Amino acid sequence: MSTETDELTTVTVDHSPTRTSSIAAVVAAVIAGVTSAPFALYAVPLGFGGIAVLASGLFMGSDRLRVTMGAAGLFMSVLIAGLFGTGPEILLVSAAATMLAWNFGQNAISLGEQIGASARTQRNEIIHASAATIIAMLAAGVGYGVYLVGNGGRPMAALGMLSLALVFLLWAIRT
Amino acid sequence: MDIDRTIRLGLGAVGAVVFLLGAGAYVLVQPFVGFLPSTFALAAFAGLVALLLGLWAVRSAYHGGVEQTPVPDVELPRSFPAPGSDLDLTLYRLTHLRQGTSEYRDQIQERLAEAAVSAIRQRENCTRAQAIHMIEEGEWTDNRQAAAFFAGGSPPSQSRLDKFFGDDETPYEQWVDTTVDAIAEYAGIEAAATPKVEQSSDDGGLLSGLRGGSDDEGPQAQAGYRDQYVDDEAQRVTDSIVYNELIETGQWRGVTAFSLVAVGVGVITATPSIVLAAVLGVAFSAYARAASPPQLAALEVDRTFDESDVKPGEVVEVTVTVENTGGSFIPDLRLVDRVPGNMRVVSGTPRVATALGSGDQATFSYQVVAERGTHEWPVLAIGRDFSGALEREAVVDVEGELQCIPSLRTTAEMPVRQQTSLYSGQENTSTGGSGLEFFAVREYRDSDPMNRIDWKRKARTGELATIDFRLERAASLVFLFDARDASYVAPAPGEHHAVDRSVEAAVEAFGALSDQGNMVGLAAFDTVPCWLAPSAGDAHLERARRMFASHPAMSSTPPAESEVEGHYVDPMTHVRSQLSPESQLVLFSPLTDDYTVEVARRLDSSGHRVTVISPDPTANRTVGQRLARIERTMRVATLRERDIRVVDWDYDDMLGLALDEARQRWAV
Repeated sequence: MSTETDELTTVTVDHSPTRTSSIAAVVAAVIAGVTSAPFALYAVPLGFGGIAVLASGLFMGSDRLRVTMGAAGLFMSVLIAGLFGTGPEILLVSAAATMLAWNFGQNAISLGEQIGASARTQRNEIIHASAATIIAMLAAGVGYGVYLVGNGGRPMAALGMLSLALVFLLWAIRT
Repeated sequence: MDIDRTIRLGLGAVGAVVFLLGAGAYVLVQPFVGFLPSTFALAAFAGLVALLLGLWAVRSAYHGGVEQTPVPDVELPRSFPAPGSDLDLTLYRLTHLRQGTSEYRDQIQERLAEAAVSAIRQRENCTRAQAIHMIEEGEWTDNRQAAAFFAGGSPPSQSRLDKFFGDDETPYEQWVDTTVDAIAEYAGIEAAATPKVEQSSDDGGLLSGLRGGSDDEGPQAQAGYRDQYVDDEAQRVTDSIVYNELIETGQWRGVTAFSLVAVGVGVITATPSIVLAAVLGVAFSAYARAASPPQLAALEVDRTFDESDVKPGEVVEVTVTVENTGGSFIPDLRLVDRVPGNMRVVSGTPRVATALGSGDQATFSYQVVAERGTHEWPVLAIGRDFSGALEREAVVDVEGELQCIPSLRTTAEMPVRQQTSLYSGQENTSTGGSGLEFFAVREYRDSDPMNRIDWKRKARTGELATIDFRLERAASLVFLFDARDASYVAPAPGEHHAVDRSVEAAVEAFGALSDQGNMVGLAAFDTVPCWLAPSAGDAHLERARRMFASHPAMSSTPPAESEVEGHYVDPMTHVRSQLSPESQLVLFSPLTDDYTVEVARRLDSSGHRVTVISPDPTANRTVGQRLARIERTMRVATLRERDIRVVDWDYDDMLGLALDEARQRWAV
């Protein structure tokens, strides 16, 4: 080996979460927190705590558990906001942003582990994030539509049956 | 999974029936309401069930975790263990995992005793029995703890202070440590420079694998080139592409929990907007469920090098182009070029994550330091569907190889021993004959050539005498490589292993020796027979170069793991049957076990002069490594005692330096 090549140092492999998805995750988390917090004071600590935990799982080390915990905190703040009478439109946005934050964070970690933060990953991340966002928007739109149409004094029995059906079906497709 | 599937179908069916009932009641209202239980209780029950199931889903998501294909750090060179890591491993199992207590203890004691016996025999020059006696009596050292180790004592008790400060070394470990230090001191080997500080923090990954618990946790360090690219379930889909088993990543695992909890809370508290929020969880569950396996069979990979015929140590730019020639969109594609284990990436990165539409291309390039060998390597392609719920790894073979053949440089002058062939050359012999240098004057014999008669003496005394010159002959050498598994060791992670060092040294010596007109051959003991008879000439040099570069026995990757130790071709039979009687041997070995010593001794006693060139791969960071250093030093001493020349080559030095030192010692 010549001395020249000895000076070449091996590259370091950076397995931290990829940047684009991490930033997207935190942005989504902030949207979720901001949309749920102002309507219920009790949601504030859970919401902003969730944002902090999620961000720490992506920017300070790489930790799936922290990302999930952060998302769970945000989700609870969404529930609390709903209990305190936040409108369904805002609630849908909050819930969608929460789940997207969770998923973007997961994807950032997965990409970081398999590919690393120093490689080109933007195209992959953007397509993944767009697809998930489109699904969320479609779901929210359809759900809101049904909500608007079906709103009215309906018998309790029907609502009970429908909730039960929802539970069964959900468990059937659970992941 | 079939039961799971049935349950899901059943639940789906029940759900559909209940949904129809509910929808009927919702829309038609009148006829149905009478039939159905119309209390809040039912709704509350549904809510409660949802909440409980939601919590259950949270729990199973927490336990299920996320699964994905582990990708090795291909950028880094493969790490080889330092000699002695087996002892460290045994010790670790014994003290920390509490496995095989008595047998491991016996093993450790036996190895230490063996090292101590040879140290005593070296120093006291006594018989084995005497040395064993000394050990049993504990007379060999002043250190009482060390003496007691072999005399059947018990480990010194750990002081409470140590325990308090969280010294995690067990008393037994400390005992072994002390004993090894005592043996080292006795044998006159310098003790560890910084003993016991960062104990076994880098041990070539052997212990860390054990300590980490399970083995497949996220990305691993370069696990080795021999590790199979493909798993058991792999199937070949095209000539060049092998699919590994489809993985459910579980990235969406737990998303149902969001929905169920939302439904539960919403229904119980009668807040419709919260129930509405559950729709997102439902949508994402369905999104993940609807995933179709990624199709990677239509990937076409092309790899180019800026120069495909290089010398070791040169930097090569590698460009990989991946094209999706199929008709379907691959929404998530992660590509990793599986750089061979001995090469390291010095700039760029051999990975990319992208999405490829039909006909799209992705290109990435990086630079590696080429290492000896003929390299051909695959690309790992990890494809996912849109949601990321399913993942499949494909191993794509790529055509085109990187050839890295060493040039036979003539830098190190290699001392040759006094055993020569019948051919004339440049090696001075201790025989008289025709040549250049004056050797002796002897009586005239019939048929002595006229030009060598000492005419002056004839004039002076009238007697005929013949001048003998020193006969110059070519030596016939065979380079024998110890390329067994035990030789794939390096003093520190990421350094070249001993076989690589040996071949580097041989490449240097080969050129020099053949330039001097010697005939050099090659052989190795390994699972594959490797033999190149001593010869000379350009064609022979070229053959040797190719062998250095690509013979499997001398490759920079260890022999396959499945080959157990007993399967090595025994050099006794394999090499000796082809070795001509006048050949000398140059044995390249790190001397990490007694087998090579035995080989050298037996070849020596069958009349071949043996020179051992031994790169020293030992380190002194752990107990095992220090013991290995003692053992190796003893082996070198044993060989030298038998009048076998040993070049003890320090890992950091150039070969030339080591040879100069050795020459000086031999000249005396």
